[in-house]
Amino acid sequence: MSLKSRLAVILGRTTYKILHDIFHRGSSLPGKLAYQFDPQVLKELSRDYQVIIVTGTNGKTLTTSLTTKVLQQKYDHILTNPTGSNMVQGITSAFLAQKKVPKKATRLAVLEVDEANVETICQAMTPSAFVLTNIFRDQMDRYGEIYTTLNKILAGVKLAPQAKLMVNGDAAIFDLQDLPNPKVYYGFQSDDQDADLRANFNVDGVLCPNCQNIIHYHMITYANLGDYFCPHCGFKRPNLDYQVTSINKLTPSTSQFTIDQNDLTINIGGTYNIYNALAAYTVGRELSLNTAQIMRAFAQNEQVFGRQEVIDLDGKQLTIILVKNPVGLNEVLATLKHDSKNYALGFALNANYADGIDTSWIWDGDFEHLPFQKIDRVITGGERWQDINFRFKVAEMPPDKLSHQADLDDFLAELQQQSSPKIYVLATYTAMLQLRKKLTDKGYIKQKTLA
Amino acid sequence: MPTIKIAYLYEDLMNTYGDAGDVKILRHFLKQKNYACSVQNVSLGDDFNAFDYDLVFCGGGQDFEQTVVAKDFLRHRQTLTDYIEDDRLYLGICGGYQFLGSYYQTSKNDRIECLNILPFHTIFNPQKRMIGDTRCTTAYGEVKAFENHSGQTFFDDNNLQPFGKMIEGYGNNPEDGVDGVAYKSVICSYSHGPLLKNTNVAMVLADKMIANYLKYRV
Repeated sequence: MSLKSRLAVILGRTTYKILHDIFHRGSSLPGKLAYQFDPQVLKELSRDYQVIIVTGTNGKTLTTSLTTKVLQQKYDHILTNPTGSNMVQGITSAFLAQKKVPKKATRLAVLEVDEANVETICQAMTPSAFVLTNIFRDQMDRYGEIYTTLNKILAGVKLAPQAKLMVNGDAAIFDLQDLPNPKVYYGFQSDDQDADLRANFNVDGVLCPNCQNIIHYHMITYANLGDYFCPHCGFKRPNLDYQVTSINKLTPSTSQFTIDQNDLTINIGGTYNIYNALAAYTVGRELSLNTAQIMRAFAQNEQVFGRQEVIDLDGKQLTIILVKNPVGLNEVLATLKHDSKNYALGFALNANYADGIDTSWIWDGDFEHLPFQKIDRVITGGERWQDINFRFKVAEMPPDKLSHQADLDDFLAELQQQSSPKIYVLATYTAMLQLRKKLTDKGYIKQKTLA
Repeated sequence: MPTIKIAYLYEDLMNTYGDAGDVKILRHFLKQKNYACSVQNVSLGDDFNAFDYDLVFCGGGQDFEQTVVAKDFLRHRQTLTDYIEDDRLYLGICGGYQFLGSYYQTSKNDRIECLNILPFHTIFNPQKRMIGDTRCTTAYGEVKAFENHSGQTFFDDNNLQPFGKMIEGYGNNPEDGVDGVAYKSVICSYSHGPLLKNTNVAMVLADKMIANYLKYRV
């Protein structure tokens, strides 16, 4: 290691220790300082690691977390960036925070990487595998169009032609035939090869990558994912190496499903989360874990920060769910339909940089399909409450059930007044952080707030 | 309830920036006036007669999809020209606006032919993408929206009227200080957000749709 890198590591580690041990905070600051001091530092820190990169629009955080839990069944020293700080600084911080590992131990890193940061990370280290979840339109003021996102990811993949690609085979955009990398595909089994379906009209990425006609499906799981085929040129889904053969039970807080004859359960709802479990299963199997080990890992009932968090609010069950783009939002709305009981629904919408400064994506949400008779009340809030409130009005939410609170304290107060035993709150990123802080200040959330 | 018909051109491909909200908002206001509303997706290869509808709508899409759509769109030149000249309602946002001009030039300098119904053209310049909140004054009152486009649109005829004059944001291009085009019963704009969350514009459009329905289709 060069002297400069050594100093960068010392600087980063010291900053980390001060923040972590004295202020009980984690953040990307140590990584930022070390990286600024020496951009080579990440290369040095990751030198002895076998690296798995998880990237794609939705599902990165949960896939990373589940994959880590799976691999921990076999490996003792797994480094990961569990807080969703998935850019260069955050990843550098994760390496700086790593405790000493015995010399001969296998060092594995499972890293959630922001799509636009994949290339930079791959310049610092050569991953042995990539997990590609999906690509949907996401905060277009920041990321641009889906093909731009794909090219950003591929720019990194091309730096590691030996790395194994573990790919969502149900996503037609991942047309990777020309890449030399070994490939493994996961997806959902489809039973009816005669079925001929089209994606919903509010879904993007439905043009055949090969001939630019509209893709059809034998089966759609959600959005543009499924057993796709092009009736014009014959382009079709690759053969799957690992597949979900059935979904056995879905509630907003659990999913039971079968992968290759094995019944599995995760403590989070939503078809989209089954994909994340399937991705983690795929990594596990490819790294020689057996099914029993994977089942044990899935059974651990830990929450993933913010994405879906259950809080006891004066005896009421408050579930906060992060929403950030139309596909994710629609999956959340679809998941709420699986609740058999009545509930109250909150929606806190902000439009800061981290949320996406354009709120128009809420108009692609299928609010019209919500089961209004089961929803006791809708409360809108956040800095852009007017936008989300009007969205519910246009969706024909009965006006006597719809209220708005411009101030987040009042929003929380109205949530507390609800008589429904269950409350779901959908929130954009900064709205979720603000709400969590208020809940922490009031003692409803006990654990440390992660930056 | 009588049913108002909307043609949503390439709903499955030009659907990227929340413009579907415009159609949803119109349906909401029509319902308040006791009209049902049916929306027909007109996609690649589909037959289309503009006169079957009370409003023709087309929104913004991704650059790749837009280029695929542009070729197919040319099939509708005659019906749309006749429809627009007959003072019928067309609402075009972003790509749905650009298609009515003579051509657009992509970021790779390819010239894509458009319908040439109105005298303007568009040059894509990804180095200067225009992103952010907008405010403009229009014949309907003030309009607040969000723009996100790399296409810069220029009028080729001084008589052409814009939809709005910018108070904040870019609009058609960085120089002219105007947004969109207003011609007969055509409204075109770069306003996402969607545009019709400005209920002042939405109410006028809904009333015109009903008037057209009663005049032409009852």
